[in-house]
Amino acid sequence: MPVPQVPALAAAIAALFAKLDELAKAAVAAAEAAAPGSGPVVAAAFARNEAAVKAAVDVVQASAEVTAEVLAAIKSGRAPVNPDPTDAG
Amino acid sequence: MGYKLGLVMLYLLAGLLSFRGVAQAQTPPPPPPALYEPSSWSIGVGAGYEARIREDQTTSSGPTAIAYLARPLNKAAFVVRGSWRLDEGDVRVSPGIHYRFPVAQEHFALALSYDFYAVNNVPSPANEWSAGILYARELGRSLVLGASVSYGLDTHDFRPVAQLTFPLHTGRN
Repeated sequence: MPVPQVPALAAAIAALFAKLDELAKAAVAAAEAAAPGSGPVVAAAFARNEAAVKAAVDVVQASAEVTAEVLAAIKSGRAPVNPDPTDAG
Repeated sequence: MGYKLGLVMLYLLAGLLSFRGVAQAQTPPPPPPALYEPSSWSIGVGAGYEARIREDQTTSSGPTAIAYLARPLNKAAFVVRGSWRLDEGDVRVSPGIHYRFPVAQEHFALALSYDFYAVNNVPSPANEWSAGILYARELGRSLVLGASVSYGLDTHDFRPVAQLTFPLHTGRN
């Protein structure tokens, strides 16, 4: 699902994923040093966690986007009309 | 002499037309319509079949008459959906917000609404918040096929619905 990026959150999200990537690399290196061959197992576990975090980030961004649009419409009392079949509920 | 007069008239006409074109190009675009503008709202009616799957796994289902009123925004929409279960007599009115997310050019939306229940012949659930997911597809120009599942945040009931709606008016800018 292509979730649009919310500019206000983009920097924080990029920093979060950079930190996660850094942690994953450190954990894989440490695991491989402690028990050779365990690196891929740790990497797979981190990949699963990263997918969960990305899904959560998508939800946060979608919530931020809809909140921003709705608040802007309420504040200005105006909004462009873009009908969609799902409007039928 | 006559052709000179004609040339002057042509120059004047060309000047007038170019001035009008520049003036139109400099006109700022009109603002989007106000939320209360009736022509920007969508309205429609329809029929469907709705089930209720309760937390204790008991179920009930029946035909439903539907009406909706929506104010589409860009990615979201304010929607009020009313439904009347023909067998039980329950009327549910649900004002809420939809957030659309297209998948492979199909129309999906997440919905958050508050369900008001009234006019019932059997004990009906208390009013509650509900969250759901919707799918809709246009059938030609005058019908919309929809399917949705909503979840009552208090009752923990699931409500799958299949419906066919007929837009009476579609909101426009």
